[in-house]
Amino acid sequence: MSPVGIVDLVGFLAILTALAIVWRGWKRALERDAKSLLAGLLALTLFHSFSNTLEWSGITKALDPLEDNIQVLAPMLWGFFFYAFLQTVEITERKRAEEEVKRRNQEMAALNAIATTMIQSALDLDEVLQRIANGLVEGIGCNTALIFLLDEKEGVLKGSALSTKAKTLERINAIIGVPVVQLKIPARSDFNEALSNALDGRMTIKHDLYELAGPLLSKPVCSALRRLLVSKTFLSVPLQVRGKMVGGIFASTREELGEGDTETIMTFANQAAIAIENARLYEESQRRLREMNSLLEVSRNVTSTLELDEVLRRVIDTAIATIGPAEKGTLHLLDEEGDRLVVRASVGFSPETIGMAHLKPGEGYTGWVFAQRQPLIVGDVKADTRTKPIDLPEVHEEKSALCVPLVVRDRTIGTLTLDNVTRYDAFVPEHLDLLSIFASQATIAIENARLYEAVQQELTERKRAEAALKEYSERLEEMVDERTQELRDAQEKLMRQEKLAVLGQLAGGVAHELRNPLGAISNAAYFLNMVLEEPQPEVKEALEIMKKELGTSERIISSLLDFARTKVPTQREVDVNDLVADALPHADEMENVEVMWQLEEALPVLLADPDQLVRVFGNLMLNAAQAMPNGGRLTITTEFVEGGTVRDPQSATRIQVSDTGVGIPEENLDKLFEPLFTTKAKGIGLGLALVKTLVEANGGSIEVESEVGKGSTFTVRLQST
Amino acid sequence: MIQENEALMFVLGVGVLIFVLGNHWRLRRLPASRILLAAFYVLLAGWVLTILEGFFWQELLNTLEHMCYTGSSVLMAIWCWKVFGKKEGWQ
Repeated sequence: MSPVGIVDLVGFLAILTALAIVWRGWKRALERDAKSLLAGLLALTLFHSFSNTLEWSGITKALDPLEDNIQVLAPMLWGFFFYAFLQTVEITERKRAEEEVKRRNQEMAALNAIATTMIQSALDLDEVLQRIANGLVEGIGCNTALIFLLDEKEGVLKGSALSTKAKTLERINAIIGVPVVQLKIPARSDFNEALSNALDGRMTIKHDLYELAGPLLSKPVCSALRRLLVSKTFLSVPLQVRGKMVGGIFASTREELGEGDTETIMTFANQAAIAIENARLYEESQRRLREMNSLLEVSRNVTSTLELDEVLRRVIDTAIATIGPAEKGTLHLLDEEGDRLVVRASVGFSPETIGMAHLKPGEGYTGWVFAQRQPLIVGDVKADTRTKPIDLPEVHEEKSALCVPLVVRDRTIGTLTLDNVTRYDAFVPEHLDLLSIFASQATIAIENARLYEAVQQELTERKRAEAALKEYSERLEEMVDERTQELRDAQEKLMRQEKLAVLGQLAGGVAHELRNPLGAISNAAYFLNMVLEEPQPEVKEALEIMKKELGTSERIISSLLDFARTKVPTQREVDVNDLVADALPHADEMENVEVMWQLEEALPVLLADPDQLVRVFGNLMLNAAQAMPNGGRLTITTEFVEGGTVRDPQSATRIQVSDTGVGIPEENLDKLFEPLFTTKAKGIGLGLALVKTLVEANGGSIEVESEVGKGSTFTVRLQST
Repeated sequence: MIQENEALMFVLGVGVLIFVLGNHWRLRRLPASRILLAAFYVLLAGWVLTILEGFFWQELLNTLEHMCYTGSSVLMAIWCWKVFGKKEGWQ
């Protein structure tokens, strides 16, 4: 065989090989719609083999014209082949693109369904997180998914939910050494590349787990986890809402991720972040609602009383119960002088401490809050420069504090301070907000209680003033009555004295003028009685009548003269019992009268005019006897009475002359001691007037009690020396 | 001497070459397109040599012509193997 023949043979064998390969790949090629490609290819290849075979087999010359014509077709076949091949590729790519779009649409629909379920059906944050993790595993195709949430306060990402296809959770925890959901990652961009990307809102995809999780997890741990999870790809995806990171997803897949997969995961992550934010907002709104309800309850509790001390006690108790970390507390109120904050209620402090806890505005952090009118969180009480040093062990126990001003109508009335003795930075801004709201309610309650107390005090004072005014008014009336009575008495006394003076002057003149004629008559009667030895009975009776009436006239004239010439008492020490005994009238004037003596022995000695008192008692006894014309009992009583009673305000010797006579009508009692007033047929009404004058001249008083038909009692009171 | 069929084949081959060059960026999307295009270019070279052997160095150019055909066949076989022989060749 010539060299050219060998070359042709090789080409022939190559063609056969190509045909064999195509034959093997025929079925797969058909599945991919490559019929036109294969048809062109086969034609081309057959032509090659045919033309080469002709020369190699030595029958070229026999088929020479045919071969020449066939060879002419070769470029046309190649052109057809290229064209058909291009069409096939484009059709295939278009179909593949359509299939990809369809698949993506299906994935997005499934993803949307998952996201909708996450967002709409679950508002509990833990449940949402678990659904996100499950969605990544069941919907996206990850074999493990771990959700981290950002804790802004601590500045860390905390493991919050895990989902995995494999039964490897316990083994994962065992490899890591702690439950995977308790992992914490510092939220710093310098921690590792994945975290830096996540903070910038970018996804990170790695094949080496350590590049993603180191240095949180060591290399051996990462290697062990990779073997356990049988994963090719590890990725971290940020969870962002409005450009702000709320957490992140860590996931692994068994397959390589295409561009569409990453877009799907990012879309899912965005939906998941919204779901998390919604759940957080819902949780926050629920928490706020609970706080508001709690505050409402608290406000009801605090405002249910108006007693100030009780309100203050409830405020401090409720504040400690409401603000979780609070263990102790004090409520300062500005005192009335406005220069000192006084502890009005407290919990957890001894009286000794409370005594030292009074502050000036601006003193200590409590005073600072009062002066600045700003709420304050003190993370470390000892380290705070505003803290007032109080050298007491229990004060040193305080580690952190929370203090808010009590402001009402733009006026600060005090402060409310809560303390924690177990840890520093126990209070957070949420506590401050809550306490501020509570304080505003409490301040209103305190102010109401203060106003109520002020009103009550004013009412009490007003009642007291009204009572005093009423009492003064009554007293004034009494005083007016007393003064009126005194004026009336004085006027009556003056009139009586004037009357007595006129009467005495008149009586004295009359008596003086009558005494001489009566003396002449009396002498004449005496003369006739002397000269007539045996007078006729009628004459004798007339003389007796004359004598008797002259005696009566003499007494009347004497009375008139006594009345007119009342002398100034000549006072000396006297025994009343002796005077009373001396004053008993003559027996013929006491006919049918039984005299009873009830004289108290050892009466105090009085300083009085004895003659005038004998005349007083004599007149009273004579009047009593005359009031009992048919007989009766005359009772003379003397006794010493202690003062202090209404009836006897001062100690005195009391002399009573009582009879069982006709009595005195009530309407005559007031006029009884007036001159010329008499109810007797024989009398000129000067006896009792004289009695009263004499008694009063000796510093005593006289009064009468009488009941018609039963008798009368005259009582004389004389002051002891 | 130049034969008519060879001249016609060359002309048609140049036409296909123009088509290939004009759609070069599209043809690059074909699987293992470099091998396939190389097979075409080598075959085209064989057709040129067929014409040239009529004028000088007949023996040498004829041998080269057949080597081009064989080389083109081998490249085609390789291309078939890369495209259809592998499980994931036609993607």
